[in-house]
Amino acid sequence: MTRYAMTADLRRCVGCQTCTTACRHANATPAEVQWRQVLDFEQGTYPQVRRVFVPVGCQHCADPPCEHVCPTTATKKRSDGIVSIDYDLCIGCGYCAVACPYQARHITHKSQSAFGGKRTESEEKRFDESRMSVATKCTFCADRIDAGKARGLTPGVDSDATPACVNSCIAGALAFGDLEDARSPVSELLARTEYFRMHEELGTEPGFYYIVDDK
Amino acid sequence: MTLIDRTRPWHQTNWDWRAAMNFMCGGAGSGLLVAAPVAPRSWYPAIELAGACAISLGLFFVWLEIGRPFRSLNVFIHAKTSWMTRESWASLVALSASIIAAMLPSMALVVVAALAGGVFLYCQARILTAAKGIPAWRLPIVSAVILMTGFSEGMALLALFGRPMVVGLFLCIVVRGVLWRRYRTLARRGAVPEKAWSILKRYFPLVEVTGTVVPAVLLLLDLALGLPLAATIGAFLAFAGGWLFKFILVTRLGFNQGFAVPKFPSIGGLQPFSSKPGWPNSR
Repeated sequence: MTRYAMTADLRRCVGCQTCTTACRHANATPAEVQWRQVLDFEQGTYPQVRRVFVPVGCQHCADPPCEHVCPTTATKKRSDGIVSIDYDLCIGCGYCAVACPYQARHITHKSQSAFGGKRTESEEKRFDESRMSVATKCTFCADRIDAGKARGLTPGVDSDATPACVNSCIAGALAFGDLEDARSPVSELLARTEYFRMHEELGTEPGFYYIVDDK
Repeated sequence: MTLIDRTRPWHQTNWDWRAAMNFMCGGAGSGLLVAAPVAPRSWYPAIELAGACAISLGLFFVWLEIGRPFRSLNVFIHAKTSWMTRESWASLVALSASIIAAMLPSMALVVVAALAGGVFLYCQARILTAAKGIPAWRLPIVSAVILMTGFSEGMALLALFGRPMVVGLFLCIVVRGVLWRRYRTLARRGAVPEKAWSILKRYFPLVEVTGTVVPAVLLLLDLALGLPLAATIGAFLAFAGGWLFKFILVTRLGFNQGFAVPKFPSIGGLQPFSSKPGWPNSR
């Protein structure tokens, strides 16, 4: 079995948003939609203050509430753990969006240019009508993974089979791979670090791990 | 909204008043079907038709809300786990049964329609609790609240057709009032984000007075002194209070989970931190 997961080393992330931009470029998301976001957390009072940057997006849960509630089976969990959406089945009811505790799902009804006014030539070329008025979210760049694997590449190791956000991370904060493979980048990282998963108390078993310390 | 604001729960933008109308109209219509067997036989056709119309109207509002309305039949596919699919199937049965019961009014058909209406209402109640991303909806008590609110609305709506069933309605709104109070207590204790609690705190007295206190007093007045007008006004207010609660629940309390960092990296030897912005500290 394969279980793809992502790790974000919070000691390394500098909040540069390169992953956000890379995701938008790779997936041509509409102007107001970011499948990969980096949040800025600040906590405490001077001099005990902490600031940390936290990449968020679909957590590709092992027990995804979005899949349970979807009335159309458009949302499915693949055998490799990636939660996918069939845009041709989705009716855009938004139930998955209110079921997701990670605010990872977006429904866009009107395509806007990121620069205001008419869509640019590039935006026009990459506009995808099938993604309008349906739920969309991070796919872990599933197309890229599938195409890379078909060429014998290893997701998380070979960049052509690895999500765009991970490839673009300037600080090496993001990693990707198969949790079931002890030699994958994520397995090796998790074996030697302390980490948490967000909102774990909700029982969703997210596939996104936040590293905070060495063991 | 700044990046820092983005860490706190914000109001969901996917379900608006149209979704609320499904819970309001559908809940009242199915509640009416459930209440029908206790009504006089001569009321059956009108009650069954009114129940079917209310459920249909609620579903129509949902249809207006979905992004791809012409694919709406796909909603019937995922009965295995989706309460929305189950609600859709239940609506088909409830609508068919109630329309047949309106044309051929018999106790047996009215009971079948009541059972189907009950299933529909139960599905509606579970739809909200399955929305794990919205703390104010996912509380298990919300199912009981939606069910009891629907039953109360159904009993209250009987007043449209004649003298309301005063004792039944009184019992329903008392139980509903207790559930509303319990919901408020859970919210006060930190089960919902701060913003959701501050809104609930503001509206709750209005809901409680409109939906529980005044109707209960008016119904008691009718029971004690025989004042049918008081009972009718009480029934109207009990109904309005139920709609008000559901409208607020769906359109005002729908703040999402927000984000949390249970542990910050321990760089620099500072004390360990955790952060859950927008949530009460003492939970």
